[in-house]
Amino acid sequence: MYKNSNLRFLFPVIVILLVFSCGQHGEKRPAEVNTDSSSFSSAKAVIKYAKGFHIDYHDHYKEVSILNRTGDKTDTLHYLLLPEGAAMPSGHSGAQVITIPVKSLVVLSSSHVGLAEFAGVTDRITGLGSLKYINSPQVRQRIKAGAVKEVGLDNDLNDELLVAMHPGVLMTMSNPDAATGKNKTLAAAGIPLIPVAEWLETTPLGRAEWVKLVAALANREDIVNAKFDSVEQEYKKLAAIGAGAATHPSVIIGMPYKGSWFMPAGESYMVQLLNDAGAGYRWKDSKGTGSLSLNFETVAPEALKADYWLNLGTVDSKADIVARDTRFTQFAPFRTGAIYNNTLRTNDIGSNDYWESGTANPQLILADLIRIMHPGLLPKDSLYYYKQLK
Amino acid sequence: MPDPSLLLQTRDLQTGYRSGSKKTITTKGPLNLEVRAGQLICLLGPNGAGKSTLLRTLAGLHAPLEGRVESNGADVRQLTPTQRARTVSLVLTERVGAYQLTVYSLVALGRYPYSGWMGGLGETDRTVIEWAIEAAGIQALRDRKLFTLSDGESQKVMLARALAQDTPVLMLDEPTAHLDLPSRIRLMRLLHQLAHQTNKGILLSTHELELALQVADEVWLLQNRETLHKGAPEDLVLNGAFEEAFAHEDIRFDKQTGTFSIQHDNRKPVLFAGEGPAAWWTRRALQRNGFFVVETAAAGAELTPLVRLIERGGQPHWRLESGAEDIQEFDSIAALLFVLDQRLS
Amino acid sequence: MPVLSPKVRLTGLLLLLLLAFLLDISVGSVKIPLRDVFHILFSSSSSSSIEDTWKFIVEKIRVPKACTAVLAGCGLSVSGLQMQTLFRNPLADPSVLGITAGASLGVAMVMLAGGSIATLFAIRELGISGSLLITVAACLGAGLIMLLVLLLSGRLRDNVLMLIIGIMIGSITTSIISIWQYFSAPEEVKDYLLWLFGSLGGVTGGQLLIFGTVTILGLSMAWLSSKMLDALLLGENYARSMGLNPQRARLIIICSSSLLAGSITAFCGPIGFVGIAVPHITRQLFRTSSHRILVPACCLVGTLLLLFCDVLSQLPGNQTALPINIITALIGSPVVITLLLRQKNINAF
Repeated sequence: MYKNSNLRFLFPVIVILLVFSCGQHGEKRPAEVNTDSSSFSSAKAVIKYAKGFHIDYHDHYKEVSILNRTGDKTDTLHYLLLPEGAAMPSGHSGAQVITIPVKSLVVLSSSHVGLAEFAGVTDRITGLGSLKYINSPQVRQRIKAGAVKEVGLDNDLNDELLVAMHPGVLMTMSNPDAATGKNKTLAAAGIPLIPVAEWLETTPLGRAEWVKLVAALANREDIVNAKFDSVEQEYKKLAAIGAGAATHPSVIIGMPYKGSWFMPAGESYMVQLLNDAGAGYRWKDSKGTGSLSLNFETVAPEALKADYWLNLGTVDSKADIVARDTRFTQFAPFRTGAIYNNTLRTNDIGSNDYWESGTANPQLILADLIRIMHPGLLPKDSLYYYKQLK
Repeated sequence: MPDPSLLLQTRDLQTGYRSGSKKTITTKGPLNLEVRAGQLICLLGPNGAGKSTLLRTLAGLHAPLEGRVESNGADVRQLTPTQRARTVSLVLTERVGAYQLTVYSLVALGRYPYSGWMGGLGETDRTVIEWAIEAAGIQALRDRKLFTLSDGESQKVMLARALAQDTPVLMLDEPTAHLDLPSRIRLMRLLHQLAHQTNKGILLSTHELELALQVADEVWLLQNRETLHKGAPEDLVLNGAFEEAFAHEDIRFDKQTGTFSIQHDNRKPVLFAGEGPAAWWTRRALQRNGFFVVETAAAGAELTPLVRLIERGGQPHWRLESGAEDIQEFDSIAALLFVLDQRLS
Repeated sequence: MPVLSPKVRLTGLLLLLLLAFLLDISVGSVKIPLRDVFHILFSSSSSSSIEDTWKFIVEKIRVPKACTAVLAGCGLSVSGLQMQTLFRNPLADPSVLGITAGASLGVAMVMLAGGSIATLFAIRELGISGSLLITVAACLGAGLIMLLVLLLSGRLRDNVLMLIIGIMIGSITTSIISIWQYFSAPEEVKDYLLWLFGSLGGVTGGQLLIFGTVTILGLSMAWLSSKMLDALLLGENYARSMGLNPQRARLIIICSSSLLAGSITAFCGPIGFVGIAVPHITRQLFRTSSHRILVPACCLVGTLLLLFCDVLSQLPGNQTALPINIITALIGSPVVITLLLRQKNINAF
């Protein structure tokens, strides 16, 4: 036993320090799970399907990398998600800082509203690109109450309004630096821009998984992870049913304009959905993640014999289809009535929820497709997004 | 009883423009003119005197400010375009595009008021076209394209077209404008012949005073916007109308020769003796160099030199006598003038 | 070039035309043997030896497209011919009065921002939608501009002024459309741009009938006014002295030219180049200024050109086709340049 006077002096100091640090931890650990005031959630998101972004969790901050594909080049955008007041970690120059949890966000596309709704943060939306098309009842209420401002789309972003609003983050669809560097004003005003490029994903689950990015911004990983897991399980279950279906009915998608008919290309997410639903698709082996630009004559032989016609766009009835072009009446799906459009959930202002909540709920879309193409295979037969056109 | 030889007549005509409520008078008048069959009338006058407007008003293309233009008792403004087209045909100064047209096709266009509704030509039409081509003297050009013709040839083609239109009255607006001198003379001569051979009434506006005086049966001389003198060209010369119309400090109309002479600053007197064509030319040369010819010597200190025209060996020679002893002889006017200039300057 | 009479040349072109028509029908993304094509066209019995899809393709896709090419080729060339004669300007074309710009305005109104109101109104109240809506909107736009032009033509005495005003009208409408484009969503702009590229497909059944009737009406008006057009070649002053009523002449020519240009733009989108080039090509081929021959000749040459361009537009990919506007410009410009260079005299218009 050291009866050294130094040690005797140090011991209480050490004890005090320990107590003090325990107390600090105690202060940091929330007394109750209150997501609004917590600066750091303990849950972590693991990205399994999405290829466009990645989240690294560190002790006091999150690091988000977003793959930026402009043409052939691919580089990565780095973001640091820091709680308020936290010090900037070293070695991350060039990364944009976003203070979390984000308390207000501005969203420019319907699909992002859908992601926000899935993550339960629609009450934090203070700005939308356009107030014209919106489905989420919560957001509509907020608009009516005047809590949401219209900030304009793309070229039209109202910089002044945004600077005045000073949202916690602005979610765009593509890289802000891309075309013109027009967003220097916003950058200078300290408004972070983050491109949420879920639309570039080639798998339905990959698309939906971007909700985890929103979760990371709002410190709601625990809730969102659980929700996504159930979506994932449901999707996989349905895909197994679809793959095991006895028949693979042929499908055509969309409508032509004059001579051109755009069909989803083989590597696109739409074809993934069709494959998982056990559908047959003539161009499923084609290359490309977007659309094929085919001419009417190429599609016509397929359309004349197809089993189903899906996703026709802004038509609502057989009469509408005939009005576009009388030749459609000779297509097999028209004659048998096997025409299904994803417009069932269109509300009173003409906004289609397929584009909003559909992004984050691919399992619902898949279920619809299976019900349409393999009637009786699933217990319930009522459709969620799709309706038959008469 | 209507006079068959009276093709066009004006009553108290006043020409000009109306723009909104503004009125610009180009010929005050009131004019009472007549165009008769078989006559060539030349409309003369300085630029800006209103010749073009008068012509267009007479052709019925332009409304008069006052009065009317009549054909067979009917106001030309009241005629239908086709009736008007069968009364008056025009040759204008403007260049025509459509260079791919052959000469024949262009002349054939003159049958517009008579041809079928798709432009089809009948027997009569073809006969008239042939006659028009011959009358204008362009048989050799029949199948040529318009863009290969010279200015003179094009103008004749336009004349042939107007002839093919077979109207009693033919009007030409400065037809000699782009032509060289031989072509001008030929055209005027042709018009004179046509008037008398075809019995048409031909009215043309021109600047060619000297040619006009030779071919016109009648001259309408616009003095300014107020006055129009009309009559036989010789009458207008003799009664001083020409002098008055073109009176200007730099110009003088010579009644004797029917020409205009440029007035020079003629301050130096010279006596002249001589006759014949050489005398005339010598006088001109002296005038051009600032001398004026006097009849008698001026009283005064200075001696007036005398230029005497003599003949030597069949050729004119000039003798300059500036005093009894000072006599020089020259065999050219240039030499004479050279010395004169030195002497008197 | 041997000296052939106009009749011989016309007959020759007619034969070439038939060949071109057949070629256009036989070529496409789907390979159909020539024998079967003939069978589909000419045999009345519904033979089951030929696939139904092939019947559909030939009858419902290729034949209407070729017919559209014929009508558009005739209409555009004759409209261009009239404009070049009326204004005595070799650079005039059907769009010079702003009619095609008016049609574009109508289409832009229902396709682009702010137009959704017009679209919704038309769909709900009038029950018109889809491609019919676009066609009707284009017709209305063209008609509006035509009325404006006719109104102005009555008050203007000079054709050159008309030309300038027509070009100005075109500019104004283009600016308005640009403003709408600026404020539109990308998808809407893309749809509108697709329309701008022009397309000969998609005019079928009832629409083809209407298109054909209007075009034939316009062509007849043009041909029947050949005499007037010939007189106008000498300029308005001479024409007037020959008995032409310039006001009435202008009315008829503008009406028929607008009918042709407006309807073609409404059904096919704006197709450029044919209207300005074909009259020149025809004049060189036939060496005449007489419109009685030029009007039918322009029809033939224009149709040939457009059919040829349509065949070419199928070639690049098996599955895709290039827009017709691109082909007409690429093919037509060198042809006109060559023809004009061979002319020794630049004035030969």
